[in-house]
Amino acid sequence: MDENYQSGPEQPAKLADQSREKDATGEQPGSPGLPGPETGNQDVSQLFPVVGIGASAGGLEALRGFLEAIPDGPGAALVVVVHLSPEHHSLLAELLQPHTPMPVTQVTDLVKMEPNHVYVIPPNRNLSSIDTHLRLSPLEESRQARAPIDHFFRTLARTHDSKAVGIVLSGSGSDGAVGLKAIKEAGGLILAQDPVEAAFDGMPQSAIATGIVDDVLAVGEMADRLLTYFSTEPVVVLPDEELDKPGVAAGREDAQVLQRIFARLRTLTGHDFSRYKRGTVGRRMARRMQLHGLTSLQAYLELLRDEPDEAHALFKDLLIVVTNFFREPATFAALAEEVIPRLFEGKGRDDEVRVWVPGCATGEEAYSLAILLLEHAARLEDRPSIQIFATDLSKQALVVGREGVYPEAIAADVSPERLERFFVHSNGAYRVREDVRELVLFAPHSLLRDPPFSHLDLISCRNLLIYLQRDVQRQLLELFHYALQSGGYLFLGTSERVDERDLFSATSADHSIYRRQDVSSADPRLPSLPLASIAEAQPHWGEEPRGQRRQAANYGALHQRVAERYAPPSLLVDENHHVVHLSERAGHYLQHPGGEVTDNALRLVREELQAELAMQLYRAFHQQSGSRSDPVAMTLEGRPRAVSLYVEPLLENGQRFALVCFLETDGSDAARAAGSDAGRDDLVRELEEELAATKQQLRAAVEEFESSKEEMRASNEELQSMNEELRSTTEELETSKEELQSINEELVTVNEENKNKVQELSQMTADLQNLLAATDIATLFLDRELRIQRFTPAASRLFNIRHSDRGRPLAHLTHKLVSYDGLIDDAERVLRTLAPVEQEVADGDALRYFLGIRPYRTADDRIDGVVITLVDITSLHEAERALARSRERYRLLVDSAQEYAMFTMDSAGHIDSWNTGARRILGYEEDEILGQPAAVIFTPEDRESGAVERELRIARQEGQAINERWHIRQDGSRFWGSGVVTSLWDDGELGGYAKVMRDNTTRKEAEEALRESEERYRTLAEMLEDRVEERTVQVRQLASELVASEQRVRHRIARTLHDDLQQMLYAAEMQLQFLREDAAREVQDGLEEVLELVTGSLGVTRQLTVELSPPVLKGEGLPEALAWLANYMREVYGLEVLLEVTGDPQMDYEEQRILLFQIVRELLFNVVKHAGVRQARVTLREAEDGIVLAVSDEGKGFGVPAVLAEDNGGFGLYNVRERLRLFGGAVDIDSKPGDGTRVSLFLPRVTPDPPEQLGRADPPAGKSAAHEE
Amino acid sequence: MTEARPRVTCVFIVEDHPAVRKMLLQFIRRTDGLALCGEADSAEAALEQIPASGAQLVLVDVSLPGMDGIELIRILHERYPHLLSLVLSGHDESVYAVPALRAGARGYVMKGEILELVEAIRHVCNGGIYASHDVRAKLDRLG
Repeated sequence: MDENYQSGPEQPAKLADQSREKDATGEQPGSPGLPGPETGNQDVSQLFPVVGIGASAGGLEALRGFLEAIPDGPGAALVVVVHLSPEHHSLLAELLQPHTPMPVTQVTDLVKMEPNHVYVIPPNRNLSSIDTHLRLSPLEESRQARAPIDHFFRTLARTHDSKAVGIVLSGSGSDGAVGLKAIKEAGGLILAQDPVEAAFDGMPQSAIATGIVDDVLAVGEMADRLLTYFSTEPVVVLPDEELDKPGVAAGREDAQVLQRIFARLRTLTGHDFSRYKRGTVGRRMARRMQLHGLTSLQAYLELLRDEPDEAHALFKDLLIVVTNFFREPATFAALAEEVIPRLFEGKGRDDEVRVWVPGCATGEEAYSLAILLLEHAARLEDRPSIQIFATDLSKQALVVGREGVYPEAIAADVSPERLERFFVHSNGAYRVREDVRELVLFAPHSLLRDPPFSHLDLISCRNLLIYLQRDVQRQLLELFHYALQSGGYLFLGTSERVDERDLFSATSADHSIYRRQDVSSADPRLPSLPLASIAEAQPHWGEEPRGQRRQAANYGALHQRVAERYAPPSLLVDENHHVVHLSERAGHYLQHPGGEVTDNALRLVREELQAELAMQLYRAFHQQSGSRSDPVAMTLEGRPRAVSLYVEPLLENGQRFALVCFLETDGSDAARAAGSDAGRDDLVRELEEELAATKQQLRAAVEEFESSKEEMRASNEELQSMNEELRSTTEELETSKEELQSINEELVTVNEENKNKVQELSQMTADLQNLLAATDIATLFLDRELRIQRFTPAASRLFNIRHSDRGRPLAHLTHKLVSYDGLIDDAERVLRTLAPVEQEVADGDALRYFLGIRPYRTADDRIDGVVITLVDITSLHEAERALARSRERYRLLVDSAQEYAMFTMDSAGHIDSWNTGARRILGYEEDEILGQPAAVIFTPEDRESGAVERELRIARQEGQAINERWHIRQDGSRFWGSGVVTSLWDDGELGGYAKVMRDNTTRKEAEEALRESEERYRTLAEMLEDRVEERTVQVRQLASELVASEQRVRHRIARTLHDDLQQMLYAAEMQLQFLREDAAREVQDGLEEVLELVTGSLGVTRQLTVELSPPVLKGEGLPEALAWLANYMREVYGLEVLLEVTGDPQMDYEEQRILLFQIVRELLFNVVKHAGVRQARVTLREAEDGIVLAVSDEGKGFGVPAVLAEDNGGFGLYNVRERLRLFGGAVDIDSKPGDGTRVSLFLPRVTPDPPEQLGRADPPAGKSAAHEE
Repeated sequence: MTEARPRVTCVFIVEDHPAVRKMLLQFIRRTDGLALCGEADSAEAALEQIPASGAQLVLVDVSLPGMDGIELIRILHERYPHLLSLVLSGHDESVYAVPALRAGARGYVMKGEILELVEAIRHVCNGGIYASHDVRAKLDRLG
C-alpha cells in the first residue's frame, strides 16, 4: 500500500456520512489534487428522503394508484414531475388531492420541501432541487430539448445523494432515463412502473433499458418498497483501507468480512474491487444493503453467498459511471482546439489516428471523441483513418455502446447541428450514424488485468482513476505511458491529476489534458503488465508491499544468508535471463563487460562459462530439468580451475526462475581433464582448434540467438497487443455477423412481400378481366398489325367478333358503323402519328357513338398497338338538342321583354349578351356593347368609388345583389335603374353574371319630391317648436319681471308714504299735542278733534305702507313671513289665522317667495272680505319637489267657475292661477256656496328659469324701503 | 333719584325728516331738565358730531338714509358704553324693538306716543330700560 495515502481518518467513516465525492458528479470544478477520502459538503443524513416521480401520458391514473397506496406520513417529500401543456393551466394538484391525505401543492415559487408533502410541477417550467428547496426555471424553448423529468432527477441526485428516489411511471418517450442514472450514481433508489401495467410503456421501457433500475413494480407495490427503503437507515460501518494492512486488520471483524465480500465478488465476477476507493465501493454496497433491508456487512455477505445474482447486481452498481455526450463541454472544446488537430499532424491517407477510451461505459464519451475527430478530419484533404478502442468491464454497457441508440434527452448535451449530422432520429431515440459507429470498436477489457493497446495517439480515461486507489492509479499511468506513442495525449477528468511529471506533462489550464513525456531510458519502461497475476492467484487481497514481506521473513533470510556461505556460489536468474539474486561468492564467476550496464546473466558470467550457461538455461526453462555441465577449465585468481555449472529450474508464484550453481573442482582436475592423453597431442590440438572454432561459432550463434530473443520478446509484446485488437475486432465481427443475420431476416421479409405483390398482381388481372366484361364501353385492343387482342362484350356486338376471332386482323371483320368506313385507315394513322383520333359515328340502329382511337402504350412507354373505344352517346346527343331548343326559347323570351334591360356578363364583368329591352333603355346596339365592361353604363362617380366591383362582389358572395342607382345611357343622359345582378355558377366555378334592370326614374323623382317636402315640413316644425320654447322663456321672464316691477311700484309708493306723508303727519301730530297743552280751554276741544284726525290718518298710512311692502319679507324665510302675516291679520283685521308648517318649506328665489306671500295675503283678504268668518287656516308643507300651501275657511263659499271668470281687477283667484302657472305651479280651488273654501297651491322648487334672469329682475331699491313705514 | 343725577340731561337728536326733527327740538326745549346739544340727519353725521357734543342721551330714528339707526346704536354702544340711547320709530315695536335693545338701546318709543318720551327719558336716565312689557319678556327669553 502506498505510504502517501495515509491521510484518511483513523476511524472508519460512517457510510451515511459519506456524501458523494464532488468529482464523481463532474458537475463542479474539481478540488486541487487527487480526491482524498470523502469530505461531505452536505450532511445528507440530516435530510429526509425526496421521491421524484416522473410521468407523462397515462400518468394520471398511475399517480393516483401510486398515491393511494402511500400511507399518511411516509416521512418523505414526493415531487411529481409530469409533461404539461405549456399553454394550459394545470389542475393536476386538485386532481391528485382526493387520493392522498398529504397536502398536494403546485409549486409556484421557491418553496422549502417538507416531509409528507406532495409537490407538483407547474406548466411551462423546469423544476430543480436546490439545497432543501424546490425552484422553478423556464422550460427550454425547443420541444426537443425539453426533459423536465431528467432535469429534476439530475438536480435531485446532486442535492440528496442516497436520499433521492427516482420513479418513472407511464409515459411515452424517454424522459427520465438519463436522470435516473444520476440518481443511481449518487446512491439513490430507482423504480420503474411495470410496462405491462403502464398505459404508455415508452418511459418505463427506456428507464429499464438503462439496465440500472433497481426494481420494476406495479404502482400498488411501490409504497411498500419505498417504506422499507426509508426505514433502513444504513448504520453500516465500512472499514477504511488502512485496516486492510496486516496487523491492523487483525481483530477487526468488519475488515475481514469486507475482504470476504471482495473475495466473493472476485470469484463470481472475476473482478477485484479491493483496489477501488473504499468510499465509492462502500456507498454502492450500502445502497444494495438498504435495498434488501440489511444493516450489517455480515448479513450482506450471507446474502451474497445465498444469491449469486446479488453479486452481479453489486458488480453492475459498482461500475455505474454517469457519462454524457460532451461531458464538461469546456474541456471538450479545449480538446477539440488544442489536441485533436495535433493528432492528425504529419499523418496521411495511409496512417491511422488511434484512440483508446478505457472505461467507456455506454459509449457516449467514445462517440463524443469520434464526432470531434470526424469534424476535424472533414477539414483535411488527406484523411488518415480513425480507430477508437472503447473498452469497459461491463459487457452489458458495451452492448448499449455498440448499438449506439440513446434517448432523446441527449439533445440537452448535443448541439442540433451535431444531432443532425451524426445521429439518426427514429422511434423516439437517436442512433449514432453508421459512419461514426464504424470508427469505434467496443471490446470488454480490464485495465487491471488485460494488456493494453499500443501505439495510441490519445487515451481518454475520464473519471475512472478517481475510483481507484492511489498506487493503482500510478500503475495505470505507467501503463498509459507505455500504450501511448511518443507525444501522445492523455485526457483525464477535470478532477484527476497526474503527479508523475516524468511520465506526463500538463498541457491544458484545467489539468485535464496531458502529453506523454519521452523517458530517456534505454529500457522501455514497461509497466508491470501481469497485474492479473495478483488478481488470479493471491489469496490475499491487495498487494503486499515488498518491504513488509522482507521484514516478515527476517529469520528465514538470515538463515539462508548464513547457509549460503557453505553452499556453492549461485545465481538466481529469471526467465528472461536477468539476474535477480546473487549468493555471496558468486562474484568470482562474473565479470562486467564494457558497454551498457546489464543484469543479463549470459553477459555477466565469465566468457568461458557463457556458452555452457546458455545451454543449461535453455534446458532448465524449456525441458524443466536440472542438469550439470561438464567442467570447464578456466583460470581463477591465477590458478587453473575446473568449474561445472548446475542449473535447476524453479517455479515461484507462477514465475519461473533458475538456480545457477558454480561447482568448482581444483586445477589438477582441470589439468587432468586437459591432458589425459598426451600421446595424441596433435590430434588433440587439431580437435581443440576445431573446437575453438566451433566455440567461436557457437558464441556467435548464442549472441545472435540472444538478440533475436530480445526481438522476439518485443514482437511478442506487440503480438499481445495485436491479439487484443484482434479480440476486439472479433467482437466487432460478431456484431457484424449479427447485423448480417438481421439483414438476412429483412431479406426474407422482402421476399415475403414480393410474394404478396405477385398475388396482388394476379388479383388485379382478374379485376381487369371483370372490368372489361362489365363495362358498357365497346373497347378493342389491337396489336401493331391491327389484330384483335382483347375486346369487351359491347364491342363484340358492334364488330361481330367472337372469341375465336382473337388474333384475326380487324380488317377481316365487318362492323355496324354504317356511316364510317375509315376505321382501319384511322387506326393505321394513329399507329403512325401517335395522335389520337376522336369522332362521332352512328350505327344502323341510329345509335350514336363517340369513337376514340388511341395508341396502346406499354408500362415502359412502348407503342404496342391501338385501343379503339366506342361510347354510346345517343342520350347525350338528344339532351344536347333539347338544350339548344330551350336556349332558343329562352333567348326569345329575354328579347321580347321590352320593359327590362337584361344582359349577361362574363366572369371579368364584360357584357356578353344584350336584349332588346337593354337596347331600348340604355340606347346601345348589341354589337356596340358586346365585349365592353359593364362599367360603361355606370356613372363616373360610381365607377370611381368602385361600385361596379362591389356589386359584382356581392353577387359573387351572396348569389345576388339588389341595386338601385343612376345609370348612364349611350347619349349621356341618366336614368334611375333598379335591378338585380345574379352570379352564374358552372360546376362550382364562376361563369359570369346576369343583370336584370328597369328604368325607375319616374318613381325615383316622385320619391325625391316627397322626401324634400317632408324635410321642409320637419324643418318648419322644428322652427316652430324652437319659437314656442323661446316664447315660453320670454313669458317666464316677463312674469318674473312683472312680480318684481309690481314689487318695485309698491316699494316706491310705500316709501313715499313713509318718508314724507307719514313724517309730516307725525310732525303735525306733535305740534298739535304741544298746542293742546298750551292752548286755551276753549280751543282745546277743536284741537283734540284735529289731533284725532291726524292720528287716524297716520294709522291709515302705516297700514298702507305695511300692506304694500311687508317689512319682514326681505331676507326672511316663508314661514317667518307668513307668521308675521298671521299676526298682522289678527291685529289689523281681527282675523284669527292658524298657521301650520310641516317640514322646512323654503323657496330659493325671492320672486317665488314674494309670489306665495302675496297669494296668501290675497286669499286671507278674500276671507276677510267675502267669507264672513273670523277664522282661517293656512297650511304650509314641504313636498318632495316643491311646496304645497293651502288656505281654507269655513265661510260662505262661492261658485268656482263664476269667480274665475270674473275679472275683478284685483289680485283675484284668476290672477293667482295664471301667475302660478307661469312658475310651473298649479292651483286647486274647492269651494261651494255655503260650504267653505279651500284653495291649495303647488309651486315646484325647480328653478323655472336661469337664476341670472331672476337676479336681474330683482328690484334694486329694496333696501331702505323694507325698513320704512 | 332726581337729586343724584345732573339736573339737565343733554340730548342729541338723529332724525332725517326735517319736520319731525323740528318737532323734536321743540319738544326738548319745552321740557324741563332736557337740553339739546346737537342734531344730525344721518348716522354718519351723528358719529362725527356726537363725540364733541357732550351728549348724554341720543334719540335715534330707526329709518335713516345710509347706515340705519340700529347699526348706529351698536357702534355708539361699543365706543361710548355710558352714552345712553333711545329709539324713536314709526314702526311697530314688534318689528324693531328687540333688535334695537340688543344693539344697546335703552328704550323704544313709537313716534305716535311722543308724550311718553318724557317718561322714557327719565326712566332711562335713572338706569332703567324703557320698553313695553311684551318686548321685555321677549328680550328676557332671548337672553
